[in-house]
Amino acid sequence: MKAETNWVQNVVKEEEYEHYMDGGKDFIDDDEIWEKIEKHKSPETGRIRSIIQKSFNLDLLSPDDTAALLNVKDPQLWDEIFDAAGKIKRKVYDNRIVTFAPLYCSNFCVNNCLYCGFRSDNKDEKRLKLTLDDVRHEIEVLAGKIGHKRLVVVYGEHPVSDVNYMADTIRTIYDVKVKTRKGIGEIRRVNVNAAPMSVEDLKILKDVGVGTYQVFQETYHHKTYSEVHPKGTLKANYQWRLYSMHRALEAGIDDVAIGALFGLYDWRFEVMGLLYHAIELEKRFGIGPHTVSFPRLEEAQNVAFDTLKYKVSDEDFKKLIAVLRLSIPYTGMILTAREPAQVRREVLPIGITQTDASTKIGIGAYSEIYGAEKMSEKENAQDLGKQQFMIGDPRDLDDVVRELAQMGYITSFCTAGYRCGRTGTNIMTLLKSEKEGQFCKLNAILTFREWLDDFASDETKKIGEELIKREMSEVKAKMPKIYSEKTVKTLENYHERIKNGERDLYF
Amino acid sequence: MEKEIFTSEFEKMANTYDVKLWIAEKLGRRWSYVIGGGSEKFLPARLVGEIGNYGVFVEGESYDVEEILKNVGKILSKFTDVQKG
Repeated sequence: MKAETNWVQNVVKEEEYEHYMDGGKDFIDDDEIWEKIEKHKSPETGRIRSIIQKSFNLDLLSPDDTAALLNVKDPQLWDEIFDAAGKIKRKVYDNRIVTFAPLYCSNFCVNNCLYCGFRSDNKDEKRLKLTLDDVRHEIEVLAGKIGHKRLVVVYGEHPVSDVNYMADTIRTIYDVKVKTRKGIGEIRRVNVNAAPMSVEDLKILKDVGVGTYQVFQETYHHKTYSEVHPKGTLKANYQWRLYSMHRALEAGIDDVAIGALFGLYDWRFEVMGLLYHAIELEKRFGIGPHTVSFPRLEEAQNVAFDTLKYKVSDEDFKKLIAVLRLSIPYTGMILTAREPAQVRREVLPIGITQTDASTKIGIGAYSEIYGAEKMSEKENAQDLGKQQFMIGDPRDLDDVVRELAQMGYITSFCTAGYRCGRTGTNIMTLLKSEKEGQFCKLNAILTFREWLDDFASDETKKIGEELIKREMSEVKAKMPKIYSEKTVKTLENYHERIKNGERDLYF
Repeated sequence: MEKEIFTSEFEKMANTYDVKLWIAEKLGRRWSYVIGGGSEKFLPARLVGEIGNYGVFVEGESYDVEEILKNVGKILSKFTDVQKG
């Protein structure tokens, strides 16, 4: 216990964020946000239409414009916003949806967040931490049986899962190679969702080659933040968390991700907070958020928080996603399996770029190390004693891939960008100039081919083959305006080689 | 300012060879973008040379690797001189 206390006392380094603050104030001004939301209470239709048009330039909207969008009441105008959100997503990312899986490595936590199942006061939570052998077993399932190529690894904030443990687990994940039907399964990109860290610790993460580093502010509203993160805990320090991405960028991690937990406070305020965060990152570093997440608060074990007060309805959830898509048009937007399948179907077309499937959030749940869930009893399989919250869509990847294909989307397992320097300011330029989507299309085809051959069911494969034909035709149709003859020939060559068992060929 | 000057040097060189050209820093499996220039070709990026933790990537139809590396070296040495003051 003494060691834990010592560790906690040494985590926060005020000198690493105070110099970013202006006169002791951070960049979230609660009063200003509410003033803007109030000021634009009744936006004119013409103004909203001109904001929609502006968002097609793919630059950040101003807080005033976003506040106006948040105040739209006319359902017909909302339909126009939803439609624009879908179009912007396609303009930036084409019709691909990147897929990933979360891997919870440890649920030990020194914090006591009122809404979270991992809170230290929850004595019913079974505290577990994966050993490196456990990690290997989990990856054998994720990369060898399900077919994931991209993970987000999640750790509670605790000395047993400090940055050295994180680095060890990430190295282990990258090392696992599993024989599949026609090739090799492996995790190619590990994104990290972890507590705020010092620049020194972030450099350790950077050196093991993390993909994106994500920290969610949970709520941008200062008062609510201090209410739900009890004083005396590490997480109580709002600014230490708010400036996490500043430190990550300082440490050289140039793909950073932000998010808010919707349901802690008014959803319109949180959308504004995310926008202000993106504006601040662009202003300071010229790099906006690689992705934005917007999880809704879910049922968890022994929480001490009124989850109904700011509960976000399905209707408002759709609105907040669309407004985020218009406000931060270039960013990746992550919709997780927290949401039920029906909600996912409805909101996916309005701007989502990434989603997870075959999701399990219990510690060791993929390989059932700790006698965890059996997927055959999907409805009852989740054990709140071992996981942070309840997930809403337990469908497996094959089902999700097939459904996406039927909806006209290609599932992408692409992890090319960060392995050839399409990161930081480079990717920002590509995103804003609509060029990244052209890469996405090529790499989506190649990685989808791999997955179809290695993991798909017969039914999904049949639908997938048709989709690949269609995608190939679309690429050819964009020649020579976008793609050169050489590009098309290279794509065809890579496609054939993958069919013959080669793996990891990319643009 | 220095970054702008070097970006412009990379731009010029990329246009001369009709390639996209950039330097990235190696971090484990990750290559993080540092500086570069040229327009997108939508071809596989090729790592043509490594200097310490830094790699030179080229995307283009045909190019002379040796010549590109020689010119990148010249730009980088100018950068080193500037850094030394």
